[in-house]
Amino acid sequence: MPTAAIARPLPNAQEPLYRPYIQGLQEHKLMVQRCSSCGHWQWPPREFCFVCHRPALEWAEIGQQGSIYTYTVCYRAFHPWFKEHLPYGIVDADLGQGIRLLAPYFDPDVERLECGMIVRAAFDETDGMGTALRWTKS
Amino acid sequence: MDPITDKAIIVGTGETDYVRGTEKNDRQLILEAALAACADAGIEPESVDGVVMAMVDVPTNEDFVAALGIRDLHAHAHIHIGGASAVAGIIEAAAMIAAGRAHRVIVATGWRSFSGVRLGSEDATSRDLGGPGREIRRNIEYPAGLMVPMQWYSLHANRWFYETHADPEGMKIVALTTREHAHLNPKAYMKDRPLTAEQYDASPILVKPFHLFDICLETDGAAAVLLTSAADASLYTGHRPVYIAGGAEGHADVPDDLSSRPDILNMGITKAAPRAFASAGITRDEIDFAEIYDCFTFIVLRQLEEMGFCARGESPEFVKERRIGLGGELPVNTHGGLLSQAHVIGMNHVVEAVRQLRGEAGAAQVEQAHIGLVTGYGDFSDGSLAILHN
Repeated sequence: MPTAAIARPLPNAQEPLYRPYIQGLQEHKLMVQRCSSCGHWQWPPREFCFVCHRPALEWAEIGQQGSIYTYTVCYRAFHPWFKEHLPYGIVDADLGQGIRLLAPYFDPDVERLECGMIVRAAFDETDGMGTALRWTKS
Repeated sequence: MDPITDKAIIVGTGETDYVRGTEKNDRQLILEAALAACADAGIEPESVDGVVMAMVDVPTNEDFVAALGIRDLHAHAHIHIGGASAVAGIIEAAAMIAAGRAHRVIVATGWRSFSGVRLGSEDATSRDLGGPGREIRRNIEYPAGLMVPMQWYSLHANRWFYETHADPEGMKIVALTTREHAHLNPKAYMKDRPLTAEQYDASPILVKPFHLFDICLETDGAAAVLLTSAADASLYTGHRPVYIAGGAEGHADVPDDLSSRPDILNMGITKAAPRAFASAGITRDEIDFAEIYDCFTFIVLRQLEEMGFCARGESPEFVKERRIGLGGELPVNTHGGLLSQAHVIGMNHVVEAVRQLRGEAGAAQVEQAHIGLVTGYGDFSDGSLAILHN
């Protein structure tokens, strides 16, 4: 788990577009955008709705279980924090409504990951730095 | 056919040495290549009146004026679609010439992917990000442990295997074939290094499904071409002029994000290819050779599919039986590509296509090469395709 010396990368609390998402993680909720004009669910967050082009996006909670659309397994790391967790997975989970969320996967069966498997969200507290999202089967 | 068809010709090419380690900065390397392209064409650099910078912001247009002594710059552009920028830049330059906005246009790029930015480094987040969607990278991908292209594209690869049951052997065939081609190329970084199937199989998997030899080189170097009006072809007696028959750029759906793209197999070249072939008035079976952007062996396979040479999942079958080797039905990356020649952001693929069509490819010469294709691939699957002929 995270050492004192190397911080785990987390979403940037100073970024206005991501504040509701980050707040949601702290509350163990998955918050994504939803257009108040046309109902389109949108992720990643942006200023304009992709479908109706209005700056009418609000935030709504989405479910915490999904199926793996795609994934990868990393045997090399490109950041010192992740180097301590090799091998690790990255899972892109389909939550319905056209929404897919990306998060790491640290379960020990990482080398048996397959598309279509069901995963659920887990929330890791990181020494007061913030809450990190992870996908898990357990 | 379209308004640019055969209005522009490539009359000069320039390349620096392709090395690992240099005292020169990116600006100097790129300007050196541009000056070499002018010399190859036999023109005064002062007479250049158009500059297209592919992927890079430096050199600026002012840097080109200063180094080439340009008297009167009529037009310039920066193309920002990663590795698809060089080929998109050629089309942009051809359009400038067809529209009469400029008459002699340099298209250039390069970098120090060995001495500078290292896309495989152990702390990839410590450097300045280029490319689109910076908030997506920082706020979604870094927390997920997703930092570098080999990881981005592995998401695409693993879904492709799941949907199509494609044979992973296809990646190995691309790696081995292009290494053989590099052995015939005097500038190839890997010209003296064999690669056997056993070495490929034994090489580590860095990120599933990519072995070490599925991944392009990190090198320092730059390349450039000079385009001018086809009406002036007879003035250029040093080499056969190479005509730009047509081309196109294309952007994938959700071009700044792979993880949310509804169909992650969708690519920019899926959209660009039909436009490019129509633009040139050429069909796929008329293509004599293809220089295909090869940051990863996997990406060569996918572009063959999305260009329509074969169906999704069938590219491994397509590349077997030496079809993509010299002497085969569709020689691919006759210079060794980014995988085994050097990483020059795909401008080396343009230079190789020109070399083939000039009849100057030596041991790697495709017999009776008449029509060639060059692709670009960049960022999160942006694509470009140009069709050249002699």
